[in-house]
Amino acid sequence: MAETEAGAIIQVKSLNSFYGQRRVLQDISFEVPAGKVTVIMGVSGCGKSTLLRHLIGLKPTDPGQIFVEGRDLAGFDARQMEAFRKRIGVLFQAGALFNSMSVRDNIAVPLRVHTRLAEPTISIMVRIKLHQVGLTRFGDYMPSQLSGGMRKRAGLARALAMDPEMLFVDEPSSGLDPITAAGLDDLILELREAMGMTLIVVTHELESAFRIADQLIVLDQGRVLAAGMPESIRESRDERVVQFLTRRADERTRDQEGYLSDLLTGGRKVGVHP
Amino acid sequence: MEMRMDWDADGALRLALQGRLDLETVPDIRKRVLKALKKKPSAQVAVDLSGIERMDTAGVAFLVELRNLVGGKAGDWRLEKASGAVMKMLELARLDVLADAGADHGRD
Repeated sequence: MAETEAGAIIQVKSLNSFYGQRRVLQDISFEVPAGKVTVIMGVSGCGKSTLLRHLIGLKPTDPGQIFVEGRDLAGFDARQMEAFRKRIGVLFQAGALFNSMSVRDNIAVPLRVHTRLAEPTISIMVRIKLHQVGLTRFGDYMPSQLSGGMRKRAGLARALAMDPEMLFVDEPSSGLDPITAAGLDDLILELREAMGMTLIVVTHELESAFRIADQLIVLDQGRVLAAGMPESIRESRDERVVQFLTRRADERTRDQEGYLSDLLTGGRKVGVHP
Repeated sequence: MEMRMDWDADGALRLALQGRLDLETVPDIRKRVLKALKKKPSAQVAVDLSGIERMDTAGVAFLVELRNLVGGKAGDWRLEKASGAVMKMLELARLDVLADAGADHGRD
């Protein structure tokens, strides 16, 4: 896969994002190195899932730009966007499975739609993916028959069906027990190792983030609070980073003026309050 | 993707693959191998993986399917000279114990 001169497969430049009048991302810039695990983390509501939607082209980038291998994602025509989507896998928080299909068929869908592979080959691939995510015996189950954690793993198997060059994962650990969550982390690291896959993981789980990340982006109130190698983030003396890493709740002490303003005006005058 | 098929004196198929064995190349490779095995059935196959530059899950699945095509018995299907990258893919599919490593295994 081609990369930019800096070795980045994705570059985000001055990205802003709005829901109506409300700004949820503010002047976000960072790069995603190819073949590495980039973890975007922050407290709930900090804008990280919105950022993920921008990165996979589900939300228009205006103002700001996202470059994939040096080409502006906003400038992709329908054919280029389809080609881009064939190269990426996405695991959404709830798995986003088709409820009317068995787990096996859910995983086979992208292979049947996007490739010329014969059904016997697809069938073996599906079994390999089920095995990788620990669902070997659950191929015939319907999504409604699975637990939340199993649905998430089935969603991951589907996201991996095409062996994507880039895998985007939204909150991999949520709803999983610690052992299953650690297993998922191991699988993420294996994929990077075996396939040179570029992974972009959004999470608020610190333990998982530090375990898998080659690069960490810490978001706070829609801005990049810190970015760098896990060690540099861990050693940061920035008060907000320390606060996040030590999981100190700060809603009551932070920005009292903003809070009072919210109460008095209903938030109409407040800038960033995701 | 280049492919070479030879049959030894015992009728065992020797398959040597070069290039990419992935989503794009597997459909055609599979067709050619099926056609060849239909013409000249073989109960044994050995696959030389040393020329494979990149392999994905579709490639792994094709190799597994090949085992079924020649009878599906252990010993009738051999994967030989797997490079480090190929071995990693087989590891990911938990099939690495079935393959013999090539000379460069562990160097990449």
